[in-house]
Amino acid sequence: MKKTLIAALLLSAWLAPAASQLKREFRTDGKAVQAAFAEAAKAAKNCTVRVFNGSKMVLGTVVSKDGLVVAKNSEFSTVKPGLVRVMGPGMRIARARVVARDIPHDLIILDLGREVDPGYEWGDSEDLAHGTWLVAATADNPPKVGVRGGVFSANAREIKKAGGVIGVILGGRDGKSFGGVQVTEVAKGGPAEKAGVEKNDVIYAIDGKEVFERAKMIEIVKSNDPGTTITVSLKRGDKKMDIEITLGYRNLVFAELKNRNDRMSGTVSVRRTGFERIIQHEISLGKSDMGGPLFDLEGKLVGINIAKSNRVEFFAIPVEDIRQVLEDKADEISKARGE
Amino acid sequence: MRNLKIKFVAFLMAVVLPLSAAIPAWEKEAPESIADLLAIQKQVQSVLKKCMAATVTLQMGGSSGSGVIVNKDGLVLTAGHVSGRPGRAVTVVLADGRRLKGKALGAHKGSDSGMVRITDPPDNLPIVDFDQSKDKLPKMGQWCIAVGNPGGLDKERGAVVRVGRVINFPDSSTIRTDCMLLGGDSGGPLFDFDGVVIGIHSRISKPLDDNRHVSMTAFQAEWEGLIDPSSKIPAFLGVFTEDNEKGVLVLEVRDNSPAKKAGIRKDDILQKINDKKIKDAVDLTDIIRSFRPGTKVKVTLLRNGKEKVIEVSLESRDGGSSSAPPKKEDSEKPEDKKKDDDK
Repeated sequence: MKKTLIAALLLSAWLAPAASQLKREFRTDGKAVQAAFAEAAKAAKNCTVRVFNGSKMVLGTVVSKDGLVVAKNSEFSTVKPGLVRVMGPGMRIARARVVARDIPHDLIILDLGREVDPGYEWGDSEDLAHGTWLVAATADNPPKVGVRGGVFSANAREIKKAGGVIGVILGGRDGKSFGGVQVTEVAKGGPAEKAGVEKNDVIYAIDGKEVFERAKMIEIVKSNDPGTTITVSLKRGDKKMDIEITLGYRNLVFAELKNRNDRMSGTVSVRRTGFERIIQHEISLGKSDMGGPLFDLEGKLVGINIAKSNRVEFFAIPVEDIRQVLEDKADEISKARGE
Repeated sequence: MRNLKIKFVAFLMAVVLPLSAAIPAWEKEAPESIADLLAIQKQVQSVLKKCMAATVTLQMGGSSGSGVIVNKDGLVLTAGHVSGRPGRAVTVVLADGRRLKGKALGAHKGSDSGMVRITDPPDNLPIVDFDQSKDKLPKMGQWCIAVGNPGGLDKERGAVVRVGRVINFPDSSTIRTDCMLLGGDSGGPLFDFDGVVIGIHSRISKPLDDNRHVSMTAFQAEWEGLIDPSSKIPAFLGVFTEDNEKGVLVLEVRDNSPAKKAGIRKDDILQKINDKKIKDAVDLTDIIRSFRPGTKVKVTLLRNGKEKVIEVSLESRDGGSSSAPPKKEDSEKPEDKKKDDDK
């Protein structure tokens, strides 16, 4: 009996390696590996805040001792000044005031109305090279601030604007003799539908300028940012009308037309293009971790996470640009604070 | 039993303690400190420049993938679903921006291994080594570096780097890691910490830690057929036969077959291929299949009782005289369709 048992155990030990996998804790995102980042992560706990906007929650980073917080602006497009709530280190939920916005970097600046010691030093994003470890704050385990490490993964660079869309498919006739561009489909719930555009309408002008070619029309619309309102002139049967449409984000308006890479990436940031300069890393973050800080292994701030582009590519605004924005907006911030 | 235990612990202490001081951070079960992480970073960065220089973007028609140059003759390892049909034209875009002409070699459907050859390799081609052991897979938990072009070529961005670990081996030709991949990475290299290629990116599923790479053992096993795809494709004659006391009797000749083109007819009795006697119908198939498409063979046969020798130019079953038919260049359309799916 004993012998057979031993034989059976040996057999299972023999078979185990073929079917076994690296235990979760030893994977790159696992507990055991991530524990090594603990020292560098201390900085994150003192400066990361959760920012609530209605039912939405995103991260923010304390950027000054007098209580300024930076977060991702496009997550707050509908907020009314004064209505943002913030929960930070050693803090109960408190109100924060919106004191400035910076559209080019997609930053919103909030005022906590109290002194906070962020407890980190400014770093230098220019020192980073491919393969340099970085640490980012995550919102994983509320109310704690989590951290996760990964490497600097691609050249720092500009990310060109993707432009806004009105949410129609121009799959029909076009050209000068036809007198415009025919709408063959209107995206459900998209800006065009909300504004009253219908299938078979013929668009012939954008912002008062006549356009009869399909490609040209797409180019003109795309040259505007999401959130911009344009005037679309169209013909419906004998009737002519001008309709105002506020452009949306392509990946939201045409959600069902997602390409395979987006389908494999889960929820990505709504605004993930149109940044003057970003640094890129591979730290697996969620959309709501944007606005949180990015540190080097010395615990120095090197950037603020700004976009999850896909499951592999994460963008942060370099710390130098954050500091520049704070400088540029100093007057506006003082004014808003009533100083 | 107790004795044994004590001895065992003593043994462990004797062996493990001296070793633990010496083993590099990336060979520990997990890094334990910032110092360990910095040691890992230093090792990664010491090999990364070379790894990135040898990583290329492959463009064919409207689709694109990645690859890695492994020798001065311009051999590029990639995924089979990236290189695709043997012989098709490929543009190889180097990390330094050079665009070189290339041609797809073989591709293996099972493991997804594939190869491309740079047609006129320049002297200063950046290359890396690949693991040439025939039966050794990487170790579970081993650290690795993934390089590739997620989403396709982006000149300003360049290749994208990921650092992760080997999780397991779903099958004998596949390595799974937690280096996150995306469409466009396909065909790109997975390196060990010495900068040696240990895998080629192949496929993903939605869980973030399910990233699969073709192992180098799979490449080794399929090497000959990848380098020269025609070597693996059997030749084809195109006759239905049955055994006959004088040889094999032709019952039917397939239209457009090599046999038909050479003038072999129904009721011919085939006796020899290149002076080798045909034993029976099965033997005929074996003999023919041992040749490559494009080979010319002499068929000795009896027609109306008279011996006749006919030369036949063998083809592949699908009609080509070579398995790498340099047909016209790829049309754009099917590739465009594949663009987003090209993982």
